[in-house]
Amino acid sequence: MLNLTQEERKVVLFLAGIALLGVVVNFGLKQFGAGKTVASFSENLGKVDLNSADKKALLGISGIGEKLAQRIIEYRDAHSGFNGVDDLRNIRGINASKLAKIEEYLIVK
Amino acid sequence: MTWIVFYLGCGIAFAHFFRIRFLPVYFCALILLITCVIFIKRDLVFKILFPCFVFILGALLLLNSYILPKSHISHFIFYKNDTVFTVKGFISSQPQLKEGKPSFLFRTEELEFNSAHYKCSGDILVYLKEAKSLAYGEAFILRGAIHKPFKLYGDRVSGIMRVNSPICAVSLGKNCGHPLLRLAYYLRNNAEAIIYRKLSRLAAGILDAMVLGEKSNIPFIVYDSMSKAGTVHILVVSGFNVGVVASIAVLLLKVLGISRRIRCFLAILCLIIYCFATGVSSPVVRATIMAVFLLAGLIIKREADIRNSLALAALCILFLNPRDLFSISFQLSFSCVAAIVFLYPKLQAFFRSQSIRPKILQSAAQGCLVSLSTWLVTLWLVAYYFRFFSPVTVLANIFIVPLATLITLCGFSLVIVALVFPSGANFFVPSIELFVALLINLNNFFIRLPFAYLYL
Repeated sequence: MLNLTQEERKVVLFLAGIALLGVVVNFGLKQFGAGKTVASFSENLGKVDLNSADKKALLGISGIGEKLAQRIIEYRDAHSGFNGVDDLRNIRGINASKLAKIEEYLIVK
Repeated sequence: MTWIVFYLGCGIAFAHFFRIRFLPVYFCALILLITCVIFIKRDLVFKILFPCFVFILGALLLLNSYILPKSHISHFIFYKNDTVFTVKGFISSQPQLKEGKPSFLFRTEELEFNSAHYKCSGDILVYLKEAKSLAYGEAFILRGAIHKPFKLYGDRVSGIMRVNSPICAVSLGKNCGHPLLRLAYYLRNNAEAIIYRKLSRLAAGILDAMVLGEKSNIPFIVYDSMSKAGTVHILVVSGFNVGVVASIAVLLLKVLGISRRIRCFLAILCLIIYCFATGVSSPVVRATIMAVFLLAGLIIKREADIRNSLALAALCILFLNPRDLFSISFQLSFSCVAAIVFLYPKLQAFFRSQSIRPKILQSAAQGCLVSLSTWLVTLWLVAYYFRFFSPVTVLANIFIVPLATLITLCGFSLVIVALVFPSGANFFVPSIELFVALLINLNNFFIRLPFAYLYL
């Protein structure tokens, strides 16, 4: 058990020292490194345009079902498009809480 | 080396069960290291202090693995969360298809929510609602809700993201993956395509597990019967597979007339690619490290010591991720090999199996002793984790392991021959189908024996 020569002990201690140093450097980076903020992505990225989306794109949004997608398209056709996401309030089945849930995914261009 | 791993493992276990703080433990380790250096010539002092130092180093490794960087994604998300996040990063695993819906691990780099934008790190598991052709390394910007996962998903998954619309997954048109991993996954996909094209669904599922370590296509009933018989280890990529890959690589390179030293280097490269292709699990990493040391020994004309190779493999895995010590695959894999390395020679001497004649009986007896030694060591783990005890394991393995060896060899041959001579691969198909049918029926026969397995 641990029958090492003096040379072997030096090598083992050197490696152990390096490991110990590595652990504390890693700890320091994680503990004291600041979370950086960077430039933002495009705000519209990954959002569905209400004025051009087809039924399939609308159905992809969590909270919009078959009937609601159909009503959105009908409203768009009847009113020559949307002026803003808030116009959705005029559609039957969309109240304030529903709008709050889905507006993150929607945009009007 | 074995003792060093033992003390390191004890330290990791200690830090897991007892609440200790990083910095005081670190200073203890530092003092011990300095004392070891001072008393390097004192035999007794060194022999007492150095194990203590390794023990504390193990504890430090585990404590450090629990600390996450401030930019880690888990600091931004909660268990229940409706906030919509926008995340930039790349696919860090092989995408999986389940019921036509892809899922994959996603390495996050940037994160945006509530109009704030952060640099971030950590992997999240992403579920896409619609099928999309995806590949490892593909860079994406994803938009959707993320919540923290429960323990079930393992250490690597820091969040679960559901992307409900295809429009919310924007490809950036570049690949950020590691070239070696890309090559490994490309080869794996080709090998999988060959297996599923040539074989029936059941045989392909079993061969996929044996050759590439992908167990998701094995029917539950087959997997369950193998677990009960204690033969499920054949469905895991392990030392035998690594040995086969190394042998094939060395043999093919020998045919090409490449020198012995370069052959060994290239075989090491093939093993590393195979390790990545099979998902870098504990058993395959252990086997790869051990094989690499064996091949490195051939290069420098030194014989590798199997105990040191095993200990070094454990040391490498624990240094990279000390939490692996508590994973079932790590415990079963290392305990099996440790049983063969340490217990089997003792059983061999006790039963005097080497004096048995004729030679064929001696080989059969040694096979039984290998099976017995692994069973004696792993039965406690199996009983603890799976809550059953399988006395039939020793008997079943005597028949199942040679059959599994044949299937694995045929599987590798099928893939290699199909790459160079597609129609020639058809010769292997009936044999594989037959061996797989035999394997399943034999396994079912063993678990139907009286007292084959007992629930605890």
